[in-house]
Amino acid sequence: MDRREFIKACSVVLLMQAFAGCRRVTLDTSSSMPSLEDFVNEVKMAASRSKPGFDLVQIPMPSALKQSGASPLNRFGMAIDLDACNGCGKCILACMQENNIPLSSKERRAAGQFMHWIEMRGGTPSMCFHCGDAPCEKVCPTGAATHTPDGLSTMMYKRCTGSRFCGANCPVGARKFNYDDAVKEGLSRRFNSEVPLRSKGVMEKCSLCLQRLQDHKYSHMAQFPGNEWRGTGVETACAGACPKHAIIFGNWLDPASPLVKAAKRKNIYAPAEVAALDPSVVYLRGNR
Amino acid sequence: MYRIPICIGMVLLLLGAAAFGVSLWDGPAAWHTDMRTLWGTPIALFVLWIGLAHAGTLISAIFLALGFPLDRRTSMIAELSTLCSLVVAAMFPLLHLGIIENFYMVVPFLDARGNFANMRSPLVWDCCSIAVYAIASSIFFVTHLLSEKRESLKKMVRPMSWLLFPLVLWVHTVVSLDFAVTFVPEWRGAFFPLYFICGAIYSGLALVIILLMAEHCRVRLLEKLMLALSWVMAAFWLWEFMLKGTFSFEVVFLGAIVPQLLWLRPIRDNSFVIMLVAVSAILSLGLERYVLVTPSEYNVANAFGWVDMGLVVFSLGLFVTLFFMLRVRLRKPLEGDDVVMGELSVQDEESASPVKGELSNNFHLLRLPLLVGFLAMLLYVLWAVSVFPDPMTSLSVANIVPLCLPLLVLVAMVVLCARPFWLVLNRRTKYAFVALMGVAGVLAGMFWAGGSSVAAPGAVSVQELATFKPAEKVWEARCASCHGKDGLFNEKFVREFYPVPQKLSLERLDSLGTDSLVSVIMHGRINMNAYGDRLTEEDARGLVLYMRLLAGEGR
Amino acid sequence: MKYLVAGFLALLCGFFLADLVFRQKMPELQPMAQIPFDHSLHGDSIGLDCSHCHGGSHFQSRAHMPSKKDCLDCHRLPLTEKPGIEKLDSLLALSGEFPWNHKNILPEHVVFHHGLHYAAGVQCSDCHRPLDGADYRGGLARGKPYSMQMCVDCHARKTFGEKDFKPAAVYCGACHR
Repeated sequence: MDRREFIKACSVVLLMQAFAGCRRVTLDTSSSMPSLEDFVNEVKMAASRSKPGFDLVQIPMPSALKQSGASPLNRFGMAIDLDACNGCGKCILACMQENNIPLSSKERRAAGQFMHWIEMRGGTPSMCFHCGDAPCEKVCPTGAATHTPDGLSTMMYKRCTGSRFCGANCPVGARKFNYDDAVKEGLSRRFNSEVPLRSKGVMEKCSLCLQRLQDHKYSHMAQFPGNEWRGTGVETACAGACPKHAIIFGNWLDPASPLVKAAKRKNIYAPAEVAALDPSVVYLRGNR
Repeated sequence: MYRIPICIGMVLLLLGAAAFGVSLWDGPAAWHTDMRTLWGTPIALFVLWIGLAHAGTLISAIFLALGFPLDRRTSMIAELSTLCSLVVAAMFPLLHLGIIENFYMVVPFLDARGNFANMRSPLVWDCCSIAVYAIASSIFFVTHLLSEKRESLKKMVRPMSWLLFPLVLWVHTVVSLDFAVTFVPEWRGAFFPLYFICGAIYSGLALVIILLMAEHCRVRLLEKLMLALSWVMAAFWLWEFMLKGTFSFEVVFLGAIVPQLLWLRPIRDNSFVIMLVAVSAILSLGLERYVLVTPSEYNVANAFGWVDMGLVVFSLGLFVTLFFMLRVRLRKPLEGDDVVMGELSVQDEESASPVKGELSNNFHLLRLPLLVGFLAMLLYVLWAVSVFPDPMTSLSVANIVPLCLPLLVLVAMVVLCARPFWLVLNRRTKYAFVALMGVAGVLAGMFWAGGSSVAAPGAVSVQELATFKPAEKVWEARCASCHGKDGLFNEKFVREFYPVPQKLSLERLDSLGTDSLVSVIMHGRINMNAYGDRLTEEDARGLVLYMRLLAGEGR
Repeated sequence: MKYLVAGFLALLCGFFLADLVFRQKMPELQPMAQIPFDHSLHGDSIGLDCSHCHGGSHFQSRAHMPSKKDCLDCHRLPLTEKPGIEKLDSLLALSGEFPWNHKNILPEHVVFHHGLHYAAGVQCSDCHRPLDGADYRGGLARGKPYSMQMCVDCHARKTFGEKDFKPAAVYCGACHR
């Protein structure tokens, strides 16, 4: 056999091996829809494996964003009242239903990697803190992670290329990567027709229920053109589901917002990792 | 010739191909990741190979620029290893992506939708620097390859090496910034750029030493340099240990202790042992990159799955196959007429590099390209700062600075070598040039168009405000076609087709009363349609109130 | 020299060819339902507003298609002496509850609110105006398929310079989710 033939033979084997590698995965795909009970069970499982809590440090009340172009009227945020929260995990389930979050595959579950946007940390829920000075947005190469003038850290999934740089640069690990094609593997269920499903290979995270804010804002602006919109009356799915009313959604720049009213009565804390990054989501503890 | 290395490379490539296929298909789920490790093996391999890629340009360009004596064949081998390592290195960031076909979104140019890559991200700097580095070192390699017979190209080699010198250092600085700008405690430190550059040069030297062994040749200068760099790396590891209190025994042992064997004369004289030392240096750096990218897992053996191992093997196999096949293919132009290898003798050195004499000449050659490059860079910076549509993500000039040098070097390089190259090209290569331009155009067009979005399959419901159905809008939608927007009939429609409705007046509204009006709206009367199935009673009451308003205005 | 020119031409051709192939595709144009319909007979000529048939167009996110009942509001009586009206009436009588159905042309990650645009002073015909002589068709704005570029250009005030629209949001989160 001369060299040319040898190389040819090797190339053929190479191609076949690469294809063999590809095929392994396509064979075991089933697409069934998980039941609500599956979601409940997964939330229970995740809550039972609560990660260690944060070191909380006291911070002043969030004020308007410092970036140019930020809205002087709105900065949406959330507060989690640690005195009221008992760690029941209902917020996680509500979040999954609102945002069509898929179940995690078996291997991911074993590694403790859940897709949940809300996680239990030391018995209290934690999600993306929507830092005003968000480190994840700075390193996103494509500009898929951006800030809205209203203070939300948003993800544009169609623009995401899955470099996972944002995930590596999130101090609290709030970003979740879609390792699996949840729809194909029957892990996904579309509870809410308003929220598109994310494809395999993109990063996702808490959006502060962006869709609810958008709907409310546009209806309001159509109804009262020229009238200022402050997001009065909107709440996130987790806030709505909390039986103890421990999660309070609102507008930090609106004195009439329930969020500001609650935060004025209590001390405001944030995890030490993000305290210097101007978080919009905070913890409340102890009456002032 | 080189049949054994090619066979070894092929076998490794075949073994690794399955792992590569799985990674390609399965995406990042294929290799090891965990709670803190979002990146994993491909990025470790990328950093390693991009480091190995530095050897060629370093040895060739920097030694040439500084006037060190090295013969042509050694430099060519080193440059060829750079090109092959770059090919290997470029595969891994692509493999690493969650959605590989979206890679073009990282390129910092506008597309038709007004999307722009986020130039604040080190990854964008990274992508651009490496692309420019690949183009520049290919041009350099080809120039060097063809320069043997052609005087016009020979003149270009030296100025080109000056352009490459800063670029090669720049590239690895930018790669290190991928890590240094993040929040991961293990990755922080201002020493990272220097640390990465030294590591890159160290491993690159080791690679070239091994490749020269395959040529049955040794270059003492490189071995000395490697030994010196092992001390530099040891210093960095000590520094890191003092800062963070962690170090990996395997890395330090293989990278800093084993190379000290070179102090012993019998070992120094044995080429096989030298090769082993070089392998240990590369292994150390590879391990070090892996430990770095996988911060949570110090126990490398536990984390390493078969796919991870397969990717390592694949990269090795690809490099070896690629390198030796090109080596065989380019045997004639690579080796040229001289059979001498290694360092030139002292006399040769003096005749070969009269540094001062050539300096001004080279400088003249570089003046115009540098000027053009600088202008192009300036234009790009101005354009990029002005083009941003959204003030929330606006750029500062500091974000673009990392792209300036690569851009300058790229433009200067093209301007420098365009003319001499054009004169050298024959008809076939000119056709190839036209074809290449066509392909570039297609790629740019694809990038610009950005693909077509697909309409939603089902209806996307949008939550309307619950309270939201103002009477005015309902009137306009349901009543205005006959009764007129202002309550005074729609003349065009009513007069032509329907009998004229009753006139709207407050007296009439009062005499009929709200309830009976609501009932008319809901159930209809004579020519008036029934709207009971399309409006709620509440809507109807709102309409009656609105009618009163209209009647009042009519007065 | 001629190779340089050829190379440049190849670059341009390649670019425009690829742009043509990969740009936003024309949406699948649906045939009108079996009932013949002419917008020009139902519009300004008889003083009707778009919102009379497309009920949500002035205040809701979706404009909606009229139901059979909406048609019968007027078509209960024979409206013209033109020949063919009996055929129309019989077709209308035969058709189902919703003779016209609408297919999405927006991808699911895009939000568009008709009412919001109406409130901002944008007329229906600014986006939905057909090419001269043609009837309105779903999915085409001035004969071109809708594209993100079209939205962004108007939001950034690059188009419709003759109208005094206010500059609108250009951040991603305004229209995408």
